Amino acid sequence: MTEGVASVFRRMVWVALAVPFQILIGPKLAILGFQPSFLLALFVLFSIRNGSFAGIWVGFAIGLVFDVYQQGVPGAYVLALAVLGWIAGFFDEKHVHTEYSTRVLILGLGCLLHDSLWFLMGHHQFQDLPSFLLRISAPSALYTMMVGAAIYALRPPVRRERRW
Amino acid sequence: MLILRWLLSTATRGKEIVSIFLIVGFAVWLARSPVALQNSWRMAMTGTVFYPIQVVVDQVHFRMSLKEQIRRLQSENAILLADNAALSAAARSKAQWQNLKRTASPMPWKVVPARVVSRNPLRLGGIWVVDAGSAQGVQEGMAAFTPRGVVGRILASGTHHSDLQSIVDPDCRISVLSTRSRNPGIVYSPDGARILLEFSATSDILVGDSLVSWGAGGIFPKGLPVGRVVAIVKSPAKVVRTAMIELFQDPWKVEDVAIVLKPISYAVDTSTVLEPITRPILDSLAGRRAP
Repeated sequence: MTEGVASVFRRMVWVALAVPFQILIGPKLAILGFQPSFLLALFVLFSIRNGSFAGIWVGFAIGLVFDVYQQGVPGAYVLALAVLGWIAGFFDEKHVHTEYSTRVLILGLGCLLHDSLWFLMGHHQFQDLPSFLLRISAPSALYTMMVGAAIYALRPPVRRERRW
Repeated sequence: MLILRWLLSTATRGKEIVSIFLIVGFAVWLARSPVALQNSWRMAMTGTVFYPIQVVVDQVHFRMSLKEQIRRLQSENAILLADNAALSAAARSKAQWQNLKRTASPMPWKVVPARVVSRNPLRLGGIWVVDAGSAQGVQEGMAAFTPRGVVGRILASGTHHSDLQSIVDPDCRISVLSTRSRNPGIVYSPDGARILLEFSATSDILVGDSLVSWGAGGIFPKGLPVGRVVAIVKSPAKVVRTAMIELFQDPWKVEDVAIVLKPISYAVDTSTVLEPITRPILDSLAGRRAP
């Protein structure tokens, strides 16, 4: 196993650990019913560090876990997390440099994208999406950005030469 | 334009685009499939791919529910223990009261129950407070006892509370009789801890004798058990002798008492029948023979 693959698996462990952490700790940190998503914060960072391919399949695996164990339409989490991993992987740090604040912004937008896909996969009406995003998704995304800002500060972006 | 080119080149990389198409297709198929198929898919996943996760989740669930159950049971147990203690106390009180009534039944006076509500937990003697007062008919000088024996006497009474002077108080004295020889003595405590019996050098008091109240003094009714002689103290005095007493009722264990509603009476106890002094007796005392 090469060093690169080993580091990908090591980072996957962090994302995997975020799942029980999210389930157990997330609800306890809820403010007015809005809870932060440690999972999305770590998952977006994972995709930024490892690229789209790893992001897609790790998102698929985590989505599968949520689809199996959560109530609702199965496939919603798989699609939402895989697409989020794919999009966040566009900003792969090996190819493109993203500042700390940009990463936090990507996380916020990623949360909205994830929630939109999950909402639409759940057989909801498209016209209800803006209301859902404003009332439910945006506050959680804001909270997640704050948590993400703290997490991302622990591992600031490394400046690299662009290769594209 | 540059950004658009970068996005296009990134999005259209072979393995990523194939992966995302596969996953989107799978997700849409799963979401649109019938509920029965979705459920069986979930079952199949939990039984195969996610079996290790399922085991871990089940264990965590089991332990968490066990912990929650233990916490709930502990809380219920605490409530039940408190209830049990209250019921046991009530049952004990009732049994004790029935014992007291049985003990008091031969007495010609009424008795009222009372609970010791205050006492010095560090000192044996002293003044205790009981929860019966003048409203219940309790007055100064009335005797308090338990089925085991004498406890003390009422010093003062309020409306619903009274001060009870324990038999172990250095200021409390009680005249007693030996049940064997019917010889008298006085029980007292010199220091609020030891209980002594003072008796005449000519009295027939031996170790093991049981002592009951004599009735002299008008406070304690005659015949209430008091204690047992455990040792005779050797002393140079020839007139008065002292014995160590073990009380029948351990003063530390007194919780409920019965108070005899008998006012102080200095009249001779009617239950004590004295033999009339006749001429032959006088003569025998004087050493003379009757004509």
